Amino acid sequence: MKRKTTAFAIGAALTLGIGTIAYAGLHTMIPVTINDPAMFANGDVSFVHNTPDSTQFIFCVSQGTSANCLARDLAGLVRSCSTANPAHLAAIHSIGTSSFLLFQWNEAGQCTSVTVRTGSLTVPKV
Amino acid sequence: MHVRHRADRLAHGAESLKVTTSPARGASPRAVGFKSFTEKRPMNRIAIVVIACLGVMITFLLYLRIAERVPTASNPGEAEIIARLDRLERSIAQLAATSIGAPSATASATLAAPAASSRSESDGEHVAALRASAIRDGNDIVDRALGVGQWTADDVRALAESTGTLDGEAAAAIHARVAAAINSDRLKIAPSALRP
Repeated sequence: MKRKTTAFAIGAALTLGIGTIAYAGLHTMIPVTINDPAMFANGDVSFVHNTPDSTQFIFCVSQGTSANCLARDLAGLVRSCSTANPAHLAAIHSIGTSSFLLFQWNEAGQCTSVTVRTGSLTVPKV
Repeated sequence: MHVRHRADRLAHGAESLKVTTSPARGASPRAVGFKSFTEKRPMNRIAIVVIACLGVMITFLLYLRIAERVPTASNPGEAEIIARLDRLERSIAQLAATSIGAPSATASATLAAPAASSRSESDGEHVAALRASAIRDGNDIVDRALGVGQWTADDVRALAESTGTLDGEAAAAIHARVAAAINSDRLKIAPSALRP
């Protein structure tokens, strides 16, 4: 009986250990961050999706030849920009669930920069 | 019979001669003189006929010479080129007739260009008018929302409809007005505006 319990414990520990290894790696967990003076907003798409609050969001809407990006931080601050720049559009069209998104704007509400990073850094959507 | 006929003709000629020597009142002396000339000498009439025949022959020969100048193929390659040129001419004529709506297929191709350009100009004006109207509508939607201070789902939908036909630059310019108003806290986003 004692031997059985020990085997079960070892098995459980191994399973948990393997599980921990499977989720290892460098992860970023960037909530929506808005820097108003510097005029940029960023965040990890899936991490923001997984946050327990229902305030934060960060996304872009594409109409094909133009697009808008919008973000709201935990404090409720909303910032946005619009673009028809082909390079920005290409970046926006590459946004996925494992993407980090950063956009910058100017006084006129135009996007001055759109950066998308897609890879292993973000945690998956749950 | 034949001899008798000739005798009659000679007799008739003599009568004519009589008549011509005493011309009727009102008749031109010169006309009378020509008539008398031809009728007095039947050989002259034959000469005129011969000259006329020669004239016809010369004209016919000249026609043949001109016809020879029309390009004809001396070898298969030349024939192909000539055939192509003929087809090209026909195509140009057809195009010209179609473009200007003329019933004649021989209309000049140069007339087709101004007709096509005027049509494209009117199409361009129509497109420009539609674009201006869409931009005006889009800006009106933004202005209304700015008046209320809120950006709603209805505004999102209406703006998407009005800018749907616009090019990216024009659509982005209108959306940038919304973004600038949001960034300067003049426009609040209603929760409904975030729903797709």
